[in-house]
Amino acid sequence: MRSFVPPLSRLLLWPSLMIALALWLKGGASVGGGFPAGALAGLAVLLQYVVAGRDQARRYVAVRYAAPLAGVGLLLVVGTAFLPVLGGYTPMSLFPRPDQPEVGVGGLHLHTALVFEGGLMLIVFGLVVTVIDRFALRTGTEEESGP
Amino acid sequence: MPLWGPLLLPWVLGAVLAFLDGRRAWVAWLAILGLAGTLVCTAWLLPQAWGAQAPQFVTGDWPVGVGIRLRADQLSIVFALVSTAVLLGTLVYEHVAGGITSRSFPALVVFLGAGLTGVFFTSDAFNFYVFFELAMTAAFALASYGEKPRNLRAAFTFVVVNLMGSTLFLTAVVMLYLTTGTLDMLSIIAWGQAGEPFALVVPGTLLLCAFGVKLGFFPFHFWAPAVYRDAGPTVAALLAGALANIGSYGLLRFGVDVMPQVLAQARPLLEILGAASILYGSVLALSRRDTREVLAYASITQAGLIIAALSLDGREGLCAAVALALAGSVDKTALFLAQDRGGERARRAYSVAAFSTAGVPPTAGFWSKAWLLRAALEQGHTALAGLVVLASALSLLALFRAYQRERWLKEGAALHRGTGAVVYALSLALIAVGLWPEPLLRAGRDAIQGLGTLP
Repeated sequence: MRSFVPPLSRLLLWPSLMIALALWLKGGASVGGGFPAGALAGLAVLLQYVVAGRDQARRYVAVRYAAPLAGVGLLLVVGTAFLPVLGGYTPMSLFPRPDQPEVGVGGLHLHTALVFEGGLMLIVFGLVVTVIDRFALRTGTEEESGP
Repeated sequence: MPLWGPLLLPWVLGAVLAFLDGRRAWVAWLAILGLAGTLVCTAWLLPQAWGAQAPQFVTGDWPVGVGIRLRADQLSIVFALVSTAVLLGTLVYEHVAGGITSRSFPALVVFLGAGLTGVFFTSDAFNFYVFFELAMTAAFALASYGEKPRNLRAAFTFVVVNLMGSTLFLTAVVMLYLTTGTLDMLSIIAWGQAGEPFALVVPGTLLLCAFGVKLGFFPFHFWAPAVYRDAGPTVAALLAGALANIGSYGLLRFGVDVMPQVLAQARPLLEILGAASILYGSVLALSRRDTREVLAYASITQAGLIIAALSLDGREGLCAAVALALAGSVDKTALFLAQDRGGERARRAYSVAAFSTAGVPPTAGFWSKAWLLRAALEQGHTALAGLVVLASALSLLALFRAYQRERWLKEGAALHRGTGAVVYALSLALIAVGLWPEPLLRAGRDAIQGLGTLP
C-alpha cells in the first residue's frame, strides 16, 4: 500500500512557503516577522528531508544554497541596521521616516524594516536548513558509532 | 567614538568573514585586526563612560520603550574590554599555534565578540536575550571545533544544557514584561523603586538559574567538567574566559542594577550556593587526574566566589565580585591555553595563572580575593572568609598537583614564539595588575558606583 505521507508533504511545501512569506510581509504591523517566517520555511524543508530524503530535498535551489543565503541575509540585516549611520541617523533608523509619506498598497507598507526582516528570514532559514543538511549528511554516509 | 562603533565593527566584519575561508592566513589576520579594532573602539569609549553621562542611543530614534536603548556604563565597558581582549588573545593563539582547521572559526569568534559586546551594551531585557542567543549560537558552533568525536560530544552536552538555560532566561524576560509592562532596564528600575518588592521574585529566581547555567556554579555546574575536558583547548579558553562573563555580568546587571530588591532577598540563598560551589569545586578539583577537569572544577570554585561576593551586603562585596570576574576571566584563559603545550614557557605561564587563580601575591587574583576577604570580614561573615582562604589553599594544591603529575610539561609541542607571546601576555597582565592593582580596583569600584540604585 502506498503511503499518503510523501505526496501530502510535497503538497504542503508551497502553501507553507506562502504562509512564511505572508508572515514576513505583515510582520511590521501585526503578528509575524522574519524570524517565524524563516523558522516556518525551514520546517517545511525539514519535512521534505524527513519524508523524501536528502537527495529529493536538495532538488530545490534554495536548499542547495542555504548557507550562502544566510550570508546574504546577514549582509541585508547589517546593511539596514548600520547604513543609516552614513547619513547621520542613528543605527536601525527606518525609511521612509515617520513624518514622510508612506509607500505601499493596501495593508502592505514598504519600508526598510521589511528588508531587515527579510534578511532575518534568510538567516534563520539558511541556518536551519544547513544544520538539517549536516545531520542528514552524517546519518546518510556514516555508520553510527558509540562514544 | 560613537557608541555604535564597537557594535558595527564586529557585525560587518563577521558578515564579510562568513563568506571567506577561515583556514587562509590572511582571513585569520583580518579577523584578528577586526577584533583588535573593536578593542580599540571600546577603549575609546572609556572617557565617555567615566564622564557625567554614560554614552547611549535609542535605535531608530524611537521613543524609549519602542526603540531599544543601548547604553555603555562603566560595568559594560570593563566587561566588554576584558572579554574582547580574551577573544583576541585566543584567536591569535589558535592561528599561530599551527593554523585554523575550520572554515568558519574566525567568523564564529568574531560573532561571539559581536554577541558579547551587544550583551554588555544593551539596556533592554529582550535585546539582552537576542545578543545572548547570538553569542550562544556562535559558541554552539565553536564547541564542536576540531570535529573529533570527543569535541562533538562536548558540543552536544553544551548545546542541550545551555538551551535549557536560554529557555529559563526567555521565560524570565516574558514574566518581567508581563509584570512591569516594559523591557527597558532603566524603566524596570524605576518600576521596581515605585512598585511592590515581591513582584519580581519569580523572574529573578529564573534569571539566577539561567545565569547560573552560564557561569557554572553549584548546582548548575554539571556540564562544565565534561565540556571543558572534551572541547579543544582554545574553545575551552573561549568558553571559560569569555562566554562565562555573560553569567557574571548578567547577575551583576540584573541583580544589582535592575532588581536590587530581589537581590537583597536572595542574599541568604546566594551565600549558601556560593559556599557550596566553593567547597564542591575545591574538593573535586583535588580528586581529578585530568588537568582540564581540575581547571573546570577550579572555575566552579571561582564562580562560587563571585556568588559569595554578591551575597554580601553593601558595595564592597559587589566591587569584589566585579574584580573576581575580570581577573578570573584572564586566569582561566591563560590556564587553558598554557596547559595545551609543554616546555619551559608553558610551565612559567601556567604557574603564574595558577598562582593568580589561587590568590597568591603579586597577581590580579590576589587582589580580587583579598577584596572579597576584607568585605566578608567587615560584614562579620567569618565562616565565608574562612572558606575563601580554604578554597585558595585547596586550589593551589590541586593546580600544582596537576602541574607535577602531567606529562604535558615534558612532552608535547613546546610553546613557540608566537603562542608563547599570547600566553605570556596574559600572564604578564596578571602580574602587572598584581603589582599595580589600581586599575582593577578602580574598575570594580566605579563599575558598581555607576549602577547607582543601591544605598
